[in-house]
Amino acid sequence: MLLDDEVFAVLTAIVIIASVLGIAMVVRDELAGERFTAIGLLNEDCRIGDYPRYAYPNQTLRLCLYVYNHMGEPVYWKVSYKLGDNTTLPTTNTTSPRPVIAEWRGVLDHGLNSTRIIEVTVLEPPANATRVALIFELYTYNTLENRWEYTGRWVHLYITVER
Amino acid sequence: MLLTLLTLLLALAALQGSLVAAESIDDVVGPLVRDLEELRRSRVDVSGLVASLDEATRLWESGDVEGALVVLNATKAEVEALKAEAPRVYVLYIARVALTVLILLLAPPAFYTLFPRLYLRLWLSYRRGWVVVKGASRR
Repeated sequence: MLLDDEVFAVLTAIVIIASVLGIAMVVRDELAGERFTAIGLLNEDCRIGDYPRYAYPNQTLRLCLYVYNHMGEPVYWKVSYKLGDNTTLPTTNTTSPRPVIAEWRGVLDHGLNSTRIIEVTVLEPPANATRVALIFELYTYNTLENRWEYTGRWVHLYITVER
Repeated sequence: MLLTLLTLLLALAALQGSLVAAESIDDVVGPLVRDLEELRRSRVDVSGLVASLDEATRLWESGDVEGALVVLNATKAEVEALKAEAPRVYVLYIARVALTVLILLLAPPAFYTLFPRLYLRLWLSYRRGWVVVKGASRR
């Protein structure tokens, strides 16, 4: 035979595998994967590292917020800024009990991220405390119940407050 | 009496205006984001509208509430227009997926059937000028 049987069988197998993979990719639901959001804190140049370590009371620091959406749909997000210490940090289930000092909002499409330069004021801590934590908590808006939900994601940065 | 009624009406109008102004951005953006979620499920491209909403939230936070409302109103109008288009877009999307799957399903049998014939045709056309001589040397 002009066309070798074994070569033809291999070629047919390749076409079948390619066809199956192609169908799987076409019908795959992009919303079926893992859904998550992410938050990051960057320095004033929007890069990792070289964060401020010291601040005076009521000094304003420039930082950069990073938020990423992988929820499979557009997300209305909010980051709340709080000032606390190692006893008032958030957990994956609970937010920090400290009051909100500032908030930033945005809307992100699936698979996109947002970096935003922010200015935060380091309020004067209690008299016996010098080390404070700048806490940033990420919330997303539940559009069915019309309320903000804590995502369980947060970042914090320890700062020594000079007096 | 008439003056009192007029004053009362003006006061009511002012109160209503202050309520509108005091409306939270969440009350405006939240429903629009819900609409965008539904549009995206219908496979409508909403990336531009999401960017507009993001811009509106930034304007609002920077204190430019009027600018934010202009963007929000434009976005809302576009969302309403797209809502009417969404069913058609979804049907087209399903048709495109079904057609692609059908083509991919037909590819293996088509290859199995047609490839040997195509190969034979190419093989023969490549050797079109050859002459078959019985008993000739292989050189």
